[in-house]
Amino acid sequence: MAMAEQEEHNPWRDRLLAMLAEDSGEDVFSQTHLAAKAGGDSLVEVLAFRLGAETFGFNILSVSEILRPRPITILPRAPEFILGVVSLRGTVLAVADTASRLGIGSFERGKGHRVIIVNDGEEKMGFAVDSVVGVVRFAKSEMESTEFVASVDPSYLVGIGYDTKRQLVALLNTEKLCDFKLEAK
Amino acid sequence: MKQVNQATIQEYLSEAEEILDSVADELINLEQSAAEGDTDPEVVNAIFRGAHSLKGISAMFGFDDITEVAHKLENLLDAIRMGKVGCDRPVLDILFEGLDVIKGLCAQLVEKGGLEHDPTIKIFVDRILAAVEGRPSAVPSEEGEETVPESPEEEEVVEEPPSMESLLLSEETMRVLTDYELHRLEATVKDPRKNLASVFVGLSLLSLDTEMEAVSNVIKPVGEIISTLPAAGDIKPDELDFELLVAFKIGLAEAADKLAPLNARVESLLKPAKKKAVKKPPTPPKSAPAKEDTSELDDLFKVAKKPPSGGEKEPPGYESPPRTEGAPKREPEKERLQPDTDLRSMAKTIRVDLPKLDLLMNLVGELVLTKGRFLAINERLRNEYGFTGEVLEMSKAQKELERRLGELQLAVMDVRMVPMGQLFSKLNRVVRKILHGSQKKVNLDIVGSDTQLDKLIVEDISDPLIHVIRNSVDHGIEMPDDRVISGKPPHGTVLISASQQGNYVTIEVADDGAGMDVDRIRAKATKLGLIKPDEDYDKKKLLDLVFLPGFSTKDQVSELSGRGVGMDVLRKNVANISGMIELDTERGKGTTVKIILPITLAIIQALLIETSGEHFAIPLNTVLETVVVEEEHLRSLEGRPMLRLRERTLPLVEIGSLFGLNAEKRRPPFAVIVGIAEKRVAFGVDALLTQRDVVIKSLGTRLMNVRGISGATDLGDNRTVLILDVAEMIEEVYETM
Repeated sequence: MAMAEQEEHNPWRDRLLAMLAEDSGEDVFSQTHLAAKAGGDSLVEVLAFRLGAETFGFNILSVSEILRPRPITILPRAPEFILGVVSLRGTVLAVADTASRLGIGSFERGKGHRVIIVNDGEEKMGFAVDSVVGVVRFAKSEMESTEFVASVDPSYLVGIGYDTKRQLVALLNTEKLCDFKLEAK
Repeated sequence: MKQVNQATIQEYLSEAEEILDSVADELINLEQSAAEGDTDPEVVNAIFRGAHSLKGISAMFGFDDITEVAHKLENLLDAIRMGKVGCDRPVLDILFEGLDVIKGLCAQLVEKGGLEHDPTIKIFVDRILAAVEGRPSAVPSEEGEETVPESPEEEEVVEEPPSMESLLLSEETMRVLTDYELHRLEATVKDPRKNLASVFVGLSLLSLDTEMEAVSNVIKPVGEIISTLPAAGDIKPDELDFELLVAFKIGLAEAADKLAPLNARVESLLKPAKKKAVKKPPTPPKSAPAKEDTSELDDLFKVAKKPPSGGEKEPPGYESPPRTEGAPKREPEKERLQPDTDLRSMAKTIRVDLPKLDLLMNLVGELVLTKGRFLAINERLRNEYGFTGEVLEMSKAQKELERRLGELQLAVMDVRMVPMGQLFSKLNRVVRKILHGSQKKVNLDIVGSDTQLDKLIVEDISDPLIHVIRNSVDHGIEMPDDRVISGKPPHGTVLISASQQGNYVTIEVADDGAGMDVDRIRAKATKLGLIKPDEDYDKKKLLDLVFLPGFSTKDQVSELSGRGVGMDVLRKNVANISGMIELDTERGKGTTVKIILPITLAIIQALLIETSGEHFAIPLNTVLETVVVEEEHLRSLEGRPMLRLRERTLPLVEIGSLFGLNAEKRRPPFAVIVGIAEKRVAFGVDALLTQRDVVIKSLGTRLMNVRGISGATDLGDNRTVLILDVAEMIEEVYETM
């Protein structure tokens, strides 16, 4: 399908999509859903992933990269949802179990699992997910309220949309997910 | 001419230059605000403080001419801020000229290594004196000091203009205010553009500083805080109430709105104006004429923007200051610049952003890791091909690399090291501030200002040190009369000494005050259930209890007659930089607080161990020895495993169980004996792996407070290993004993 006219050339986004394509072996664009009406409707691009039977997503603007499975060093005395830490090109990052963070279960560590590195503007951190689906686009105006996603604390959600297969994708509030701090006792 | 060595001159210059730069900026601000008819008291104050500091350090270094000039300028500035002298053109000229004279003297220091006696200095100083003694103001100042000439008899009913009598301040309050504060009140009362008000706010004791700062930050842009007074009222146990006297530039309703979120109340300080019949006064010359006179200056000033002032924070890197923007304005002042003064910096030092240094350290760290890989490859080659030919060459090259890298590492670490002397001058100021208004007399003696510490550590230790000194001055040192009665000299002494031992720096703060009453501590601890009533404890153990949270609280201060609040906070802050803190005291003689810190935090040698299936790194400088654990050395104390090592019995801790990992309950084959200062702990481990250099990486702001872990390191093959914070772990183990 044709790209929307407002698409800017965004080099890291291309890199991210290329990474996804390489990873899943498919043409990721077949997954994208162009929901925009005529130009002027702003788009939200979302990196969609699975947690159990549900699909969630991060705004692609906050996604920095996607890591293949690698050993995660356990960090004792960290909050429940923290799986541990990994080292990424010289920086140590925390990795969270996304499902546990959302309070809907726990991470499976199955074959297709990935760690999505997000940047909330301050420090990066990783979120472990069962599998990455691809990039989905919604028009902002089409995104619906989050009333129906009952299992998750609404403050973690920004909105919901539907992908090409009419699957519900819940867009997560990256900042809120990254917002925690272990206080000194 | 007295010759002074260059090192000393550089030391003086690096501080003097900072002050001169900031004064220069503020002078430009002053010029600007004076042109607008509104001499900003904050700016005058800033310049006054600058001159004062300059006088101080110049006197300390023995540069008499500079001291003299700075002193007289300080007097002039004091006269300006008290309203005795107006900020007119001739006065401003003298201030600018003074700055240039001092710069010239500094240049002379660099070129000639000393100051030659210069008779023109005396002439200039006399000119300053003349200005101080009251050259008549050409531009009317805020207060409108001109006398109102008699007018023909016309009467009308007007509101009495506000004066000091219209202020809703009690006699006692007025007495407490300083001359300067009274002057500011008077100036503001008469200024129709300003509104005098009291801001009442209650601040929590625990976060007094930050809350007060928050209130100041809201007020400063819209008003001048003339005085901060303790307020009478219901004293809530955790709160202190304050009354701030503020001259607002905005209306009081607006001010109240701004301050409402901070729970502050705003009340006008003026009694409602009385009406009376007066002779109709002619309009007093207001600021208007001032504006007309200085319209030319206005045009020149339009270009100049407000440059950032220096202050005490680290100025941003080495960017060129925005002086270039003010260039067109500089024209009339060019004649003032002495021909041989140029704007190049005279100090041979450069300010560097700490993040840049961190980056350098990181890069060196990565190099260290890469070196490690070469080492490993080298070994494999050696094993396969023997120690000949190319392999031999490679080995030699690798050794050289190692040497150079070691030097680079030391050099970069050295860049980050700063002498503790930097911190100590700040401490001096703190002591003076604490003593302000008190009758206590305290001398601060400092030994070991040359001792060097990583800059970051110096920053982090500054607050804890101030905390300790405050305790010493507030609670340790007695009133002069009491001291004399005890046979001590009337002034107390606080001795701060810093020294380096190996990888650690020890800072001691010793006062010759009243000391702490160990019996009372024992009693308190027993009452709190921390110790058993009939058991014997040595002094060290008892003093250690003082650091426990909940031990010293506000209403217990008098009982302890020693330390104030927050010893537990103090220990936590010190532990945060991987340091330790200890107390020693003798009733009647004094108290010593000892803080032990690692020299640098970035690259360390570590011992890698395995326990409970996980790998950990223990900083080598905390490791005293490693031992094989023999059955016969195992002991038990109240159910806690201990290890007997020669004559000592140490707690035996299995790291895995401490951290809640799945630990097998069996005798660990090895133990790593760690210790800091006098405290020792034996870590039981399953395997001792290897020793290597590691770069400590922070866990990030979200997770940095994990207790017992100081960071993580990358071993190069995607394996991340946690680094133990031995100080914290030792604390933890001892807390539960």
